Amino acid sequence: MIPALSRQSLVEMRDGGITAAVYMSSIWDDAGQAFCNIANTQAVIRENADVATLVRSVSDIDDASANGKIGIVIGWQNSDGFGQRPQNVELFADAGLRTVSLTFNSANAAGSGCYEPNDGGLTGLGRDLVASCNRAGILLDLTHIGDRTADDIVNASQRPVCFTHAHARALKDHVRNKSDDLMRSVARKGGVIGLGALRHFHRRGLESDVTDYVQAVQHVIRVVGEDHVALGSDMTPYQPTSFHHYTGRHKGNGKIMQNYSSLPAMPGLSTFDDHKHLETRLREGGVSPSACEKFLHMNWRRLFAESWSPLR
Amino acid sequence: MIVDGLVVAKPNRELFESLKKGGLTAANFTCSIWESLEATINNVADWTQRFEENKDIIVQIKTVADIEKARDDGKVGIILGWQNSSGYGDYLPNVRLFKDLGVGIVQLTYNSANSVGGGCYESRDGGLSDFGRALVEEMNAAGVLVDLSHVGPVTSKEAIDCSKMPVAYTHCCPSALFQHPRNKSDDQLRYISQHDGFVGVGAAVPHFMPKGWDTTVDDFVDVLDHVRNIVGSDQIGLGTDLVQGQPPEFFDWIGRDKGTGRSVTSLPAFPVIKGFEDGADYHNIVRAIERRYSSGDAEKILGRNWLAFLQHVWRN
Repeated sequence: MIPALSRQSLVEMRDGGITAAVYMSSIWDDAGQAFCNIANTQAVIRENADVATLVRSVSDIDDASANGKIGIVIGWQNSDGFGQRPQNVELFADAGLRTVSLTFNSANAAGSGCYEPNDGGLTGLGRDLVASCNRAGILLDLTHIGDRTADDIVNASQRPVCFTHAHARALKDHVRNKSDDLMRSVARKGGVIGLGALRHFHRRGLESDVTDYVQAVQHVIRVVGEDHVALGSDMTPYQPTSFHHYTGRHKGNGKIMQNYSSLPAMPGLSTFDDHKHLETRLREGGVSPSACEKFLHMNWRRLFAESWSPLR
Repeated sequence: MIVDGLVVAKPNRELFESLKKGGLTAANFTCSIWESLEATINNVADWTQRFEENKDIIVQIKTVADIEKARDDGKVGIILGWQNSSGYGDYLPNVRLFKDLGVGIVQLTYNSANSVGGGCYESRDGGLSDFGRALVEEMNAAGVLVDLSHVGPVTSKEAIDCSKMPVAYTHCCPSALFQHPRNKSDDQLRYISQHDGFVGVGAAVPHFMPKGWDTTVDDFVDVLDHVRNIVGSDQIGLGTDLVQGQPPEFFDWIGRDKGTGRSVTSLPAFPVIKGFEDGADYHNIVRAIERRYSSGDAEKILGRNWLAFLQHVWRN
């Protein structure tokens, strides 16, 4: 999720019963700005240490849970922050970065995004970044990546990969959504499919609400099994309209790739408070108690634990 | 134990082997001078790789306990330091993040003026800016040592006054023995020491010493002794300014404003003094200091003082 980070949003996350969330601190930023954003994220967490805590390891998530705080995992939706230098990956891992998408919607030097009409696959630099992320303990996120590049990453990665916030193409045909086959190959690799809650990408488009979300959960559980499906709401509370223009445009200011309405999140899963009721919704929709538990935290915890230790 | 307050040598395997041979325990190793934030990130990242590739003989230092462990393990400890604060990109939250990554000593400005204050070669030192004050405050809070070696006299005094933690000239020579804009007056040395600050004395800098290129390690101890007579035996250490292995273009780059602008100072390439030609020669400095002082004072000057001072400033 990408709320505008403030005391208010951190308090609401905690009060919504969220133990930990991946917060995307960069999308289109270069290395310098991406570094500043991590520094700022940590400064906000430090200033609100009574409410929030930085997550560097799963034990930090357990501590957040025990202390009633919201744990913030820092992620990037794009690898431009590495400055096209695989040798910078370890530094950013040391700085607290834990999940990375190699590219966001469009093509960059690492590979192609899911809105790119011609997906050229993972590049040489992309392969080096995959290896460096594997080594440094940064979990690779395929959410915004093109099908062919994503497939290449699944094959190139020596560790499990994930979608932090994807949607099912079988339910809604859209370039941003993922085929059952791709989700299966991520699951086979030990990865996790985080299910996003943006209305545009669900079955009934802008009419979709949390019932469509629960149906999508059921669908993906059928496809990959309950050990590989998890929550990844993609909520963006308190972000201004300009933020959605920034995310929807090529490189932040170019042509429009995705025209988001002002509230992309769906009714029933658009506020932090809605998180409190999600388990009830899932149970009402027929998701078993054990699948709920895995979906809401166990699967992410397992994958993070497997992914974040550096290989030296 | 030998701790050096400033080394700006070319980092490579050959250097590390030489430093290990010289018995160096730890040094403040410059990894940013004129670099932008992004270029500094790259430099720190390159060090991350270097620590891994040379882990048999070097180790990153983040705490004083790391220095003691380096000594016990017989490795050369590297404290990442900057000679300019431009690497922060004028963004205060970066101070803590770089500290987490090991950047423990940062000079406010290098030779000329920047957004923080004036350098020692600036024709008019306008003093510490308001941003500079905020930066000093942030460095105090993060436990980063403020270095004033190349900083102008007005900015230095104001930084000493506003810093809540003691600060340092990590590498300098006294101007009472040789008048030079880079050297520090007795009053300046007294002022920093009266504020619990620290002075590292330059050794590989014949151009800042009275005997110039004829300087020997014993002459260096004379220079050091002048400083010691002012600041006492507890707030003094080494700050050699070793430049081993740097190519000629490096000296042109550091001598120009922001690296490529007008020439601010013309520096001799490959400055050395007799007896301290490279990193393997630290033993000669040790012997010269041991000839002059009691074993207790020699130990303090060679490393113990730096340890106590860093412990206080870093608070870890």
